[in-house]
Formats: sequence, C-alpha cells, structure tokens
Amino acid sequence: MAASNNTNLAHQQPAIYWDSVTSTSFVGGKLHVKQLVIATSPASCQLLRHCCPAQQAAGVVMLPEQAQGPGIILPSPADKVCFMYLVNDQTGQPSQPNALNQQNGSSSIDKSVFQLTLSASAAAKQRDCSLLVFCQVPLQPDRAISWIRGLLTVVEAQHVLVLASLPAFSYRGPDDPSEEALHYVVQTAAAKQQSKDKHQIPSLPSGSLITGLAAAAIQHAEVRRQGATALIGVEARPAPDLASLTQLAQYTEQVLKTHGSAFMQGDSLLKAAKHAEKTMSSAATNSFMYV
Amino acid sequence: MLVIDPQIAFVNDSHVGLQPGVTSANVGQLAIDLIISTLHLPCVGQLETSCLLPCAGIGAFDHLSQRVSLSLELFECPVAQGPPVFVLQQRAPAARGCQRKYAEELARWISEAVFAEVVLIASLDANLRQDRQIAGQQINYVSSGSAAAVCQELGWEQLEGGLMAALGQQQSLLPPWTLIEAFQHRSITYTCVLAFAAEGNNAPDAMRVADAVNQYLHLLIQQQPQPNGKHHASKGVMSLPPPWLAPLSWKYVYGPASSRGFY
Repeated sequence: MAASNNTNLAHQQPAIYWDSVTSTSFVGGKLHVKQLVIATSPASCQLLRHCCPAQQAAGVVMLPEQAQGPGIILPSPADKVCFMYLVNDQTGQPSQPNALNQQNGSSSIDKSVFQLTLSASAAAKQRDCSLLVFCQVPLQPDRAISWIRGLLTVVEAQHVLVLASLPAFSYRGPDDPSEEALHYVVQTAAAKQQSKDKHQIPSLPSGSLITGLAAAAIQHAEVRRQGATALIGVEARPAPDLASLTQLAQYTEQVLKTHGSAFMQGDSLLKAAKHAEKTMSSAATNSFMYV
Repeated sequence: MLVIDPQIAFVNDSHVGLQPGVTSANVGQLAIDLIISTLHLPCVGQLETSCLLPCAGIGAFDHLSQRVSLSLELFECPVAQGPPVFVLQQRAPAARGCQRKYAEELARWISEAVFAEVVLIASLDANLRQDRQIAGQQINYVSSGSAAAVCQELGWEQLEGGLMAALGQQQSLLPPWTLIEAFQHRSITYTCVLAFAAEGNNAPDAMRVADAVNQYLHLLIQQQPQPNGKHHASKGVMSLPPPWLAPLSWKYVYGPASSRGFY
C-alpha cells in the first residue's frame, strides 16, 4: 500500500493557477512565451528577483503535498509555492497581456472575429514575453519529472532555461570549486541549433551529472527534440559570493541573448548581483547565529 | 509510460538486449560503460520514464563527447556473427515506490520489441558469498531458457536456489529481482549475469563482467596488439588492461590530480 501510494504521488502533476488577466491570454489552451526561465537554486531566485522586480504574480505552481498557509496575499520568498511572473522579453518590465483587450475592446465588433483577432494578437504579444518561474521550494528529485511535465503542458516556450546548482561533492571536473566561481551549461541539441550566436560558457565536464528539475527539463526537451538549456553553478559554500553571483548573472544574460532575449543586461546585472549577495549572506549569518 | 525517441522499428525478432540492473557497486552499469566505450557504439535512442530519477550530463564517451546523456539510453552493437545486440544503459535508480512499475514498463517495451533474449548484468554484495565462493570465479548466473548449458560451458555457476530464494524474498523490490519477476511474468527469455562485488573501486569487477558478457555474446573481435606492445587508451583517461577502454566520464571519478605546487 505504501509503495503504491508513493507511485501515485510521484506521478501526480502539480496544480497550476493563473491570475484572471493571464488566463485570458491562453491560445489553444496554452500560454505561449518566448523564454521560460525556471530558477531552482536560492542564488538564481534572488538574482532574478532583483533583476526583474515584477510585483504581480501571473500564476503559481503548487505541488499537492506542499503545506499551504491560510491564504496567499502577496508573494513572498518564504512561501512554499512557486510563483510565476510574465516580463517583457526586451525590457524585463512586467508584461500586461490585458492591455491588448483594452485597446481592441469594442461592442460593435462581431465577438467571434474579436476573439479570433484577440487570440492571434495575444499569441503574437505573448511571444514577446518571457515567463519567470521561481522554484523557491526544494523539490524532491522523484517529483521533478511530473512537475516539469505539468508546467510544459500549459506553457509553450521557444526555449527553456533552467538555473540550477550542483553541490561541490557531486562535481567531477578539472577545476576546484572552492577556489573559483564555476558555472557550466548543459544544452539540448535543438537549443544549440536555435542559438544565433555561440556563447562562451563551458559545458559541464564529462563525469558530472545534474539531477532534479534541471535534469528533468533537459530530459523532457531532448527526448522531444526541443530547445532547453541548464545553467549550473557549482556550490562550494552555504552562500555564494559576489564573484559567483556576477558570473551567474553574466552567463544568464549570454544564454538569453543567444536566444533573442534581452531582459537581463547592462548595469542592472551587477546591481542585482550585489543585492542578491547582501540578501543571501545576511540570511546565512542569521541562521548561524541561532544554531 | 516509456517514451522513446526516435521510435525504433526492430526489423526482426532475433535481436538480443543487454542491460544493467542498478545494484550495489553498480557493476552492471560500469560494465555497460566499458562495452559502449570500447566498441564506440552509436546511440540510437533515448528513453524517458517518470519511474526513474532524472539525470543529465554531457560527453559520457569519447565518440559522443558533445551529446547529452540521459537516465536511459539505447545503443546498437553491430555483431559480425549472430543477431544484433541492443545495449540499454541506465544511469539513474528508480524513484521511490517505482521499482516494480519501472520493471513492468521495461518488460512491456521489451516484449513489444520482441527481443529474442535479454542479458541482464547485475552485482551481488560480496558479503553474501559462502566460503567456497571467496576464491575463484565470481560470476554466477540465473537463466530462464536454454542458455544454462552455454553458461555452464563458460564456467559460470548457477546461483544456488536457497540464496536466490532468500534474496528474492528479502530484496523483492530491488533489482535485479524486480526485473527478473517482470520478465518471467511476460515470458521473456533472460539470462542474468551476477557478479559478487564489494563497494569501492569497481572498475576491475566491471572488466571481469564485461569479459564474461563478451564471451557469452561475442561482442569483441580480439584487439590486435600495437607494435609497441601498448594498448591504445584515451589520453588522460583511466588506463585499463586490453581490450577495454575506459569512457571519458571515468576521468575525474576520483577528482582532479593534486596540484604539483603542494610538493
């Protein structure tokens, strides 16, 4: 009985809720975006949060077994759900798909034509958007595949980017993670073909394996010949230093640029890295104070 | 459900499957790595199932250095004489509570692909050996079909009925017993090659098992000795006695070399 319960749970997909604005933008039952960026490590969550300070969540991904509070009022890094934000692919500003409704709404237009036009235009507008997913809750490895499948059932992206981490003890390679910041990529064959220019990020050394959500995303995309990239940071200390966060920011910018997105760039990157480093080091210090 | 890309059409029903069981010391997976690396087998398909934990890496082998490696991959081994052999490499264990379901999914796929025989490589904990088994041949077998005679000729010992029953009961939810049960349920002809091994540096155990599988399936043509007497090995990768070539992924298994500056 316990085994079959575990089997059922492992295959259960997450519940995904969208806000009323975003849900009207679906085309063919899916949200079409240019990039789907999933931040799975604390460093990447903090970095993206400071880079793209979108305030209004477009949706939330929730696993059935995760405990819920009395009610979600405002998204918080402490919540045990994964919030999603839509951002303009070029500016990084919050995206407003409902603006299109307001521009084209008219009672004199035949509704069926209106809906068709709205859908086609909505699709065109969505392709200028990127969806950021903050997976701030540690996910059990055996839930990763169903989590990714659940998300990719309702979101269609031209490219998927997962920002993840690899513990130093799992790293097998020529470099020393305690001496320098190390970030590597794992790309599907389709992602390599899609990217317009080549980035300079080294590939994960042979012998190292990624697991969890990043691996599930790569696996899902590779088997279906879709484009996906995992950007992996090797974690050698409890809180990453500024050099590591800056490298993560720069590499994320490079990967996004090679796939035509520009919402992370310029001076904002360094500022975001500094803010993230300050947030994470104070959190690490506080936790040690109460041991 | 098992998803495979691309959909492979198995032309006839005489092909043989070779796969590892994920057991202690991982000898089956290591032996499969040696076979793929030495024979430069092409990857003909990648499989996905929600029953296995996901994992991904790059460049597991010299001849596939740019390719993404996943939890479950299928390679083809062209054999000069005899039926073609398809080699399945499994890199990740089953998820919690999914051992039996994974075994059933795999058995269903093998049954639909109409494999003539499946050779399963696994390892048993060396502590299970009896006194007389500590020295000598460490390869045992369990077989369903007429392969028993061939195994006996190769000098393998059949796993004792008592030990097999005890393990089948104590470890009924662990491979290779879940796979054997699933194969029996679908009447799939199988031969399970079992090696006693302790956790540690299991490269020698993997070579021993790869040698045994080679004797059984005749995968390798005898390597011609090099003029200087040395066997070709990938530069910097673990050096193994011929004919086996260690895959690229074994290069840093014990970490990078110590900095010379220490000395």
